[in-house]
Amino acid sequence: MKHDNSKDQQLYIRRLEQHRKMVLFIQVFLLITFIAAWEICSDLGWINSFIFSSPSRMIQSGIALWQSGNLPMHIGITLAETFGSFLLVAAFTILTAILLWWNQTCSEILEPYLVVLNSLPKSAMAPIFIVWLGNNMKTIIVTSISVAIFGSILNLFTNFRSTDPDKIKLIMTLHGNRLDCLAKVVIPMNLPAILSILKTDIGLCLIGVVIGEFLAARQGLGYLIIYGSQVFKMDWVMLSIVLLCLIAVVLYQCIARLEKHFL
Amino acid sequence: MPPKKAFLSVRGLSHTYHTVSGETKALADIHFDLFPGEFAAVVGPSGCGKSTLLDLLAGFIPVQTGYITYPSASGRPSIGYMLQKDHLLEYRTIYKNIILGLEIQHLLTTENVNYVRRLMEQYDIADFADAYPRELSGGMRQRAALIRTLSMHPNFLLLDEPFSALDYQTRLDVSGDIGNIIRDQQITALLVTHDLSEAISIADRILILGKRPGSIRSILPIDFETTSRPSPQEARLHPKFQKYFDQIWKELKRDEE
Repeated sequence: MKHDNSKDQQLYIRRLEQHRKMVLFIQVFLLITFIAAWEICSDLGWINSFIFSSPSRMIQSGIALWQSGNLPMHIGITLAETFGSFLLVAAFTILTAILLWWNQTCSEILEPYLVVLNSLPKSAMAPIFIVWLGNNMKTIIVTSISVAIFGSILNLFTNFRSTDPDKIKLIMTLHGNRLDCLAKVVIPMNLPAILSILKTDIGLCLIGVVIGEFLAARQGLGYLIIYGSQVFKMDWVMLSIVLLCLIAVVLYQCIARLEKHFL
Repeated sequence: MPPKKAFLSVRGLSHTYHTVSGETKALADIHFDLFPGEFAAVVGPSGCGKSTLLDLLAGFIPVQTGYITYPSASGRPSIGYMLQKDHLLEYRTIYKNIILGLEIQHLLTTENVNYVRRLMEQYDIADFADAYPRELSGGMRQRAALIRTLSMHPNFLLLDEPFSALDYQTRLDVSGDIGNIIRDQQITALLVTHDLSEAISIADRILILGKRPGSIRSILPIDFETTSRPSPQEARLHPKFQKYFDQIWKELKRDEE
């Protein structure tokens, strides 16, 4: 097919390709410039590297922390907490959305509560969880769940509710019951919505875990940030933030892969 | 000839919808019979309760007043329903769409699967079994939807303007095809449509409903006095076609005045 394309089409494709390359080049260029400028400024003493850290100091402290086995442990803990809360959020979201779709009275009763809980700043609840659950991983996971769950339930339920009513009628014309509507129409039709909600959820769970670790942890990257800032180890703080960026990207990509696989 | 026992008998059927803003009487005192194997059409202005009548017959909404009985059958017949659009599910192949009803009823026996395969052969969509609905033309999609309905062995078929989503050309072809298929299978059918030509060209009898609340103005038997039923295209060219059309038109006009 390709070599059949007209000259104009080839030109169009080439232009598109050139544009894409230019965008990528500038993106990489900006990143390298930023890192280089940061390094040079701190080497020349224009900024205080004790407060602002520097890429080379971050790498050095990163290697030291890694070799002592502390860094893998912190990363592992944060990842485990994120995955744990994400799985719980995913399960609760899907089950609750199904329940709300199934029983209209139930959804009418619960909707205002969900709306209020969703708009509440969840970090405000973390101190309560510490008192209730103790200074441990339970608090972190519950905080993380509370950050993600309400919005994602409301979002998925709205999607479920707006399923084409004629498709539901189709199942009725084939003498199906409500379970058939759910299994043959509502869930498969909303699969894209479910995956897109999960994609936001994994990011929100990471945010929730870091909030939790700020308040109630002895391990994890959130703990490392708080601890680092208290003992003026800004290298640790900056390193943790960069690692959180990387983790966020990797987690997002994992779900995006899943999405591609399913759709 | 002794009078045949009716297949379906509707007596004094009325229906009212309730909403916050008030109540709407949709049907008033509907009265008619359908005979086994008959293909009847219901015509009338929009909002005359045609769809309500189908929903009542299908059992989607409970009967408020009146009776729906099936004198010639023992118990409730198996009812098939065709919607305005084909509503094939985009994430299922044509074959998977067609067996949806059997799947729901847990009736995927070898016998039923063979029956479906045979229908697909017979109506020329066997080659598209593994295609997705978006790859098919409107007419083929509608045929797939009909086979999906037929797979459940209905002996009473309700059709809710099943051709209204098709373009004119396809509509003529498909209404002919589907009319033939339904006659082939000797299924009693009730078609709801607002297209008078369509009703005259495929039905044996036409029930004319008046404005809201819908009640039956008259029932018109269609007979082209030919040995076999003419195709919809032939029927449209038949001299009696215009006569029937005018008759229904007048009936509906009279109702407006």
